[in-house]
Amino acid sequence: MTTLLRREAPARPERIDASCAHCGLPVPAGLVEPTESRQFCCGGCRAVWNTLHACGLERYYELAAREAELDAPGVDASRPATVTGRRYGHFDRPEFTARHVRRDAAGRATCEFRLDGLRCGACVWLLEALPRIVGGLASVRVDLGRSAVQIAYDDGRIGLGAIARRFDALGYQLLPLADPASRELDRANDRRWLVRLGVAGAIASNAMALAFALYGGHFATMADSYRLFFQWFSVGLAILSLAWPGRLFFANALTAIRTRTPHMDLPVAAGLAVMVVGGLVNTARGTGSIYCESATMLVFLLLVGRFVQFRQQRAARQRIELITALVPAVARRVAEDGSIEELPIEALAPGDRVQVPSGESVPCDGRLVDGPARFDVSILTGESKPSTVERDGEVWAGTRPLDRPVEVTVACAGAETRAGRLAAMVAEASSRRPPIVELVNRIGGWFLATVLLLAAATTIVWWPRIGPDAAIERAVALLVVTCPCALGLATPLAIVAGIGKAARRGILVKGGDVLERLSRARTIVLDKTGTITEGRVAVVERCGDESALARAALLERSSAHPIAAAFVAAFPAPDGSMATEVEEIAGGVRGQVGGRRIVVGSERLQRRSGATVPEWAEREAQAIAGRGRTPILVSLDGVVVALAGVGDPIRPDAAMAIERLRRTGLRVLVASGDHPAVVRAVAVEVGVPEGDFVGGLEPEEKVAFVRDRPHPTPVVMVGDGVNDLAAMAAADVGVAVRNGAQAALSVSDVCLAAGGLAPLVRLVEGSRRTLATIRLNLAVSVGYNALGAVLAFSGLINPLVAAILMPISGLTVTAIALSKPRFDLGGAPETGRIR
Amino acid sequence: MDAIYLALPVSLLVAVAAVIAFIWAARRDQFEDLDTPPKRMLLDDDEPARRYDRRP
Repeated sequence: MTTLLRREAPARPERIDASCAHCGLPVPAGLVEPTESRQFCCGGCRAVWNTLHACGLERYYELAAREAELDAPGVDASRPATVTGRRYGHFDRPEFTARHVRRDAAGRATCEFRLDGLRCGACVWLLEALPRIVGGLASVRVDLGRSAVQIAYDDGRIGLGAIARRFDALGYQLLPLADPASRELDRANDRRWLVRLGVAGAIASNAMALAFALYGGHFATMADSYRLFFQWFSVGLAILSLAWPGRLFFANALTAIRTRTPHMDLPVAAGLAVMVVGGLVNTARGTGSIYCESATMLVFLLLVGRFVQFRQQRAARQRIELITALVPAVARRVAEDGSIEELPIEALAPGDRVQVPSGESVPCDGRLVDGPARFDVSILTGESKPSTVERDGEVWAGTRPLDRPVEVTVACAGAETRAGRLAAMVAEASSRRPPIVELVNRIGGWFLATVLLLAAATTIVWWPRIGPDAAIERAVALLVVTCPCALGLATPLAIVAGIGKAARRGILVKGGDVLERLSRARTIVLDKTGTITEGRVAVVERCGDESALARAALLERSSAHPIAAAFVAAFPAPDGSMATEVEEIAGGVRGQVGGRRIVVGSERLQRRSGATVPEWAEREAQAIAGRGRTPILVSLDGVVVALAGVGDPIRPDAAMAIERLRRTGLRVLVASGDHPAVVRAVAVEVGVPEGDFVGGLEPEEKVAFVRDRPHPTPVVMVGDGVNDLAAMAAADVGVAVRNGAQAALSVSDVCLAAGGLAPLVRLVEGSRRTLATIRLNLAVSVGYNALGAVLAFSGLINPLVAAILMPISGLTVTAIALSKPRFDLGGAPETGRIR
Repeated sequence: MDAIYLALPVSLLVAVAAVIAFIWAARRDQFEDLDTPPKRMLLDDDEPARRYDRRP
């Protein structure tokens, strides 16, 4: 038989149906080994196959087969993705594509998504190489800064759902943008701002160059023809600057006049207009000075301030998108006949029944059809302890069933859910926060008016005494020496230096106004779980027989319960002993260790299993419970011999940090969603007095606590979880601590990348030092300008000296800003680093 | 010194050219994403524009 096959094989290769065991390609006839059960198309495949099997990785083929089957063309994209089990069926629905997909010039479909799972440059490589292996995908462009991706594809060959599944298979989740249309608007706005800034900067620097020539010429008696030539160009540049990038100020001033509301652009516009018109008139007359370089420079500096503000507002808006992404966009509706249909949450109606697989987020608010079930509600309450919902009990969007799939009757979905309202509260709170007007804007207009008045006064006062030429020279010197450069530099430089130094200490501050608000803060509200405490379960205290506790840990080794893990971490296993007959029972574990019967669990369990609880143990158990921890008792042969208190350990530096915060004059409050008794125990331990802590707060109540309580403002809110988001946005400054939820990190104004609460102290003290630097800088530049004005007024400096002195104030301010603000804690070694 | 009558407009023309180049770049979203392109530069692009469709 064998010989027959061998002889026939070369003659009719098409009949041999061998495919390579590794890569699946057909095996060339000459390579077929009829005696082998597996065929390989080449030596390479054989080597890989052997290696995989030698390493025990045969599962690779199983996974590859599943993936190939699921991702084959034409396979329904609504089936769960191979790796994560997420569903992308709704990506192919017409209402989804109508909202998100655009056509580019080449007729390809394009769309943009936020991308979860993006880490570094290697992700860019991986994703942008996707079009090479996925047919129909034309291009993928990743934007690391915004965690976004632009996809262009041929929608005749591949659907969005299939693309999303490919991304998912690589570990990236595509998150639809909340408002795709606004993105285009943002882009256009960005472009407009960049052009404005670029033009204003170019004009300002050229006008400055011309001005320096004029100052020099003034001293060296420049011929009038040259002077006028330069002046005409300067005036032309200034008019261009006001008419193009500076038009913004005039538009705002006009609106202010029309609506009769005072606006800081009113004095700015007036000052700019006076300067340029004055320059124009003087140039036309052929005598007098022009103030064009100051006007153009001011336009540029003010625009820089506005641009920064504009970017911050937009960033605030983008944060909201992340929160809405916490709730799934797609629901599994159960029809009358029990069949399941996937549809976007917008299509859900009250009364519908939806199925939620275990571990996935509930897409709507509603009632549990079948109960009881345990839910992870940490998104709303911040508590990691699961909560049990009875049949017909209320469940909230964003929470997750833990043990089994559940069915929920829809009460509401989308924006009306509690999570939706929470997101709305964050949005509202962020927009309500009054933007701090950059100091340079506040002072700019008045500064201009004052300088112009002073220059006019100088001319008027000196004209009759020393003649027009000398009087105008003094006025020019005054205008030159009071150039607003130092003033414009004073604030931004100090803030940039402050933010940079904070970042090196693992404190990420998002914007200069944050530092200003922080430095004025009078109250700081701390969340408990995850902020003062570490947010995990651990053995915090113990008493009684140590060896019994170690044996208990041995017993707990086989359990997956968090308390068991805490035991195992806390007590080293005794050598040589083994736990036998281990049995998990409600409330604890029992078994045999070294021939002794041992029960680990609650007091109730001990009594139920017949153990005697001595009086001291009973007392200790009560004391532990009174401190807000769970007492775990250990009995040996029917007698309780040891206890352990299991709870959320307080961060080691918490008490010190709170004491230091209080010493800086802040009122320290604790607000938590946890049980009041637990909050009290923790507050007492870290030294927060009675009346300064509250427990049992829902997220909505936390917002009210931060916003409405009559404690001194501004308020800083420090938290870590999604339940603190709205409160963090409602506070004047929101601070997210390390390991907080992703959404918390994005809503907060400050992220502490270094662990513990010590960085918080550093942040508060550092922000005060930064503000002190800003004040010093302003004092230096105003004082310098005042001194310069006096000298120029009294004729002690001429325009050329003034032009030389002018940059010195800017240099002084720069030197102060770079050397001054510090974010350390008096010589303590620094461990915090930015990730 | 009369050269100044030529030099000044020329220097301004240079500035205008720079501004035009800047606006051209801004309108083409060259400043849109400043984080990714420096990384993208390091990626291999020597792969021919070949498409590997999935194996059967």
